[in-house]
Amino acid sequence: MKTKRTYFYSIIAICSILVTSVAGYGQGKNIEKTYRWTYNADQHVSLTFNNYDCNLTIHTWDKPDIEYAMSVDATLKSEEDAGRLDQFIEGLEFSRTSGGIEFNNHFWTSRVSVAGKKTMTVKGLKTIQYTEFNMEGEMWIPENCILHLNSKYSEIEVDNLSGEVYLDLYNDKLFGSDVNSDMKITAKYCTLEFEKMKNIEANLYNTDIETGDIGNLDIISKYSNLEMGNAGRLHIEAYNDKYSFGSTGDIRFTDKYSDLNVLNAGDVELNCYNSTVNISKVRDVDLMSKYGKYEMNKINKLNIITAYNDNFKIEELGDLGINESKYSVFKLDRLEHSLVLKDGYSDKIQIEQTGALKEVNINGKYVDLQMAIGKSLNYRFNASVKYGKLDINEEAMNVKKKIQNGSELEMEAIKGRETDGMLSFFVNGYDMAVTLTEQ
Amino acid sequence: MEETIHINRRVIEKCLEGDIKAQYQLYQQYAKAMFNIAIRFLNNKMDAEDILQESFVTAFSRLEELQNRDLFGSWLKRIVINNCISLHRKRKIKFEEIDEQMHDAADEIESGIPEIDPALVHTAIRELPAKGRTVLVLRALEEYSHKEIAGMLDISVSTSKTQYSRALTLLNRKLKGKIDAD
Amino acid sequence: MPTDLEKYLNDRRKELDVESPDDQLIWEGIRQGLQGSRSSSRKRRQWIRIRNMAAAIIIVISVGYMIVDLIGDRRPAVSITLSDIDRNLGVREQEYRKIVSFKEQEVSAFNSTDNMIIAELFEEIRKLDTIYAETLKDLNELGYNEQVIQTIFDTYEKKIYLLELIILENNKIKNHENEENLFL
Repeated sequence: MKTKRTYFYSIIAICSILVTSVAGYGQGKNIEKTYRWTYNADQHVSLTFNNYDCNLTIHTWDKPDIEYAMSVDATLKSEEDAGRLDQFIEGLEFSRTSGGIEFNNHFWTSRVSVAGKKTMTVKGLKTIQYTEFNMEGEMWIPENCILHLNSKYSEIEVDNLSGEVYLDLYNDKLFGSDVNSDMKITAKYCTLEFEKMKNIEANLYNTDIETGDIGNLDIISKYSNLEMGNAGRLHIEAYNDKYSFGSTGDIRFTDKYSDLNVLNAGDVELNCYNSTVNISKVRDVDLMSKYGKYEMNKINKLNIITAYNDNFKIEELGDLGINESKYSVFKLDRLEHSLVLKDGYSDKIQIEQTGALKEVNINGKYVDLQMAIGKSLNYRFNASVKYGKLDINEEAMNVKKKIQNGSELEMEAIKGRETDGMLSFFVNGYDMAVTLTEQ
Repeated sequence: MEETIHINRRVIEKCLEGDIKAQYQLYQQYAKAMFNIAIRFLNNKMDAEDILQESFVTAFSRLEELQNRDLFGSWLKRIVINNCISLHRKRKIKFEEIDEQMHDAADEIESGIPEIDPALVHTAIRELPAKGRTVLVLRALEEYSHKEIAGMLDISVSTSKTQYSRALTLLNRKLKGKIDAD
Repeated sequence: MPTDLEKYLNDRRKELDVESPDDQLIWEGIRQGLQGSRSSSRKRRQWIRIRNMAAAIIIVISVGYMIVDLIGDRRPAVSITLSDIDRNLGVREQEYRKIVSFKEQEVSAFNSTDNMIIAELFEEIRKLDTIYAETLKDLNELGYNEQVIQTIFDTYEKKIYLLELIILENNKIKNHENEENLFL
C-alpha cells in the first residue's frame, strides 16, 4: 500500500520531467490556410485597414464589395494551439462603424521573440507558442473607396485608386499605380512609389517617395528623398531632405540642410539654411538664407532679404536686389537690369556680362564688385567711400567732383552723354572695391 | 475494551495466516505508542525507528509464540523495551545516573501539578539522564515494578528506586522551569 | 502514596505519546524484514527518504516550471537588444556607441546653447532616442527583422551626423567671431 504510493509518486515525478522536457521538443502543428472575408459595401465606402507584418496586395474593382483573403503559414507548438489559433482567426470580423468598415489583422495583444522562444498572446486565449508565423493578404476594394491604410513592416502593392487615400505607414514599402484623388501620407522609414498622383499632403520621416506627375504638394519632412515629375504648387518644410521636381508652379521652400532641384518653377520663396538649391528657370525668387549654395539658370528677379555666407551662381538674371548680405559670393554670367545692395558686408559680386543696366547701387563694408560693362555704355558714377578701391575708366569720364580727404573719397563723374534715366552707379561705404571692365 | 480484544484476536488470527492487511492493522494500532516508548528510552528518533521496525518484525515472526492473543500489546511492548536495552548494551552507551548533586533535597515534590502541556512533559522526560529516564519511564509510565526494572537493567532494586526518585524530582524541576519560562 | 507528578504521568499516559513515526518508511522496512531482506533497514529508510524527497522536489519544480511557463508570458517581456538577436549585430552596435560617445564628449564642451541652429540639432538628437526606444519594442515583437535592425542602426548614423553638424556650426560661430574681430 505505502510502497505503491511511493511508486505512484515516483511515476508522477518522472512523467512531470518528461512533460516539461518534451515541451521544448514536441511535434509542431502547421497552419497553412487562407481565410476569407466578404462584405457588401457601396462604392464610396470608407475602409480602415490596420495591417502589421503582412505583405498586402490591394486590387480595385467596380463591384460594391470588399473582399479580403489572408493566408497564414504558421508552425505552432501543439495541435491544440494550432486549433485554437485557427478558430480565433476564423472568428475575426470586419467591424462596421458609422464611419465605415474596419479590419485589423494585428489580432494579437502581444508577440514576443526572446532567446529563440516565440510566443503570441491573443485576447481570450492562452498564450501560444510558435516557431514560424507569416501572413500575406490580398484585398479587393471598390475603386472609389476611401482608403485609410495603417501599416507596419509590410510590402504593399496597390492598384489604381480613385477615392481619397490616407496612408499611415511605418517601415513599409508601397508600390502604387495612379492615384486619382487627394492623398494624405504619414510615413516613417518607408519607400513609396506611385505613377501619377493628385494633391498630396505628407508628413515624412526618413522616407523615399518616387512618383510621376502630381498636383499640389504640402509637405513637412525630415531625412527624406522625393523624386517627382511635374507638380503644381509646392509648400515644403524640409530638414535634411532631397527634393527633385520637373516643372512646378509656385514654390515655398523652408528648410535646413536640404537639397532642392527644380527644372522650371513659378515664383519661389526660399528660407534656407545650409541648403543647395538648383532651379533651371524661375520667375521671381525671394530669399532668406545662410550657408546656402544656389545655382539658377534663368531668373527674372532675385530678391535677397538676408544672405549669410551664401554662394550664388546664376546664368541670367534680370534684377538682383539684396537687402542685407554678409560673406556671400555672387557669380553672375549676365545681369540684365539692376543690382541693388543695401547693406553688404564682405561680399563678393562678379558679373561677367551686363545688359541694358539701369541701376547699380552698392552700400556696405568690404564689398568687392567686379563687373563687365559695354564699352559704349554711358553712365553716371557716384562714390562716397572710405578706403575705397575704384578701378574705373576715369580718363574716359567727365569728373564733376572728386574730393579726396585722406582715405575718404567723394566722386561724381559721367561717362558719355548725360541723359535722363541713364545707368547710375552708386558706391557707398567702407573699404569698398569696385572694378568696372569695359568690353 | 472487550470489543477491542475481540477485534485483536481476529486480526492476530489473520496475521498468523500471513494476511498483510491484518499485519498493517496491528501496526497502525500499536506503532505510535511503541515508538514513543522507544524514543523516551533512547532519546533518538532514528534509533527509535530502528527499534520499532525491528520489534514488529520480531513480533510478526514469532506471533505463534504468543499464547494469549489478548496480551499482544504488552508482549510487543516488552519486545520494544528489550530491544532498546540491547541497543544500549551493544553501543555501550553510558547509562548515566542521576547523582546526588542533581538532586537537591530542598526540591520537594510539589503538590498540585498545574495543567501542563503533555508535549512539554514528554520533552522534559527526554531531557533526563539515561538511567533515571529509563527507570522513570518503566516505572511511572509502563508500570513495571522496581524488581522487574532491576532485572531488565541489571541493577539493584535500591538503585532502581533511587534513580526513580531522583528522576521524578528532576523532572519536576524541569517542568517548573518550563512553566516559569512560559 | 503517589505524588501529583506520578498521578499526572499515570492519568495522562496516552497523551504523552506526542511523537509519530514515519509510518510509510517503517512499514516498508517491516515488509522487507518479514520477506527476509538482509539490507540495512536504516540505510534503506534513508535511501527511501532521499528518493521520496527528490521525487517531491522534481514534482514541485515541474509544476512550478509549468506555472511560470503559463503565466510568465503574460508578464511584460524583458527588452531584448541586438546582441540577443545576433552577436555580430551587438558588436556593430557597440562600435556605433563608441563613436557617438566620443562625439558627444566633444560637443559637451561647447558653449553655444543660445544658438538656435545648434539647439535644434540637439533636439533632433533627442528625438532619435525616442525612435530608438520604439524600435526596440518592435525588435521584441518581431525578432530578427531586417527593417527593424536597419532602423536601429539608422538612429546611430543620424546621431553621428547631427553631432558632426553641431561641431561644424560651432566652428562657424568661432570663425566669424574671429573674422569680425579682424575687420574692426
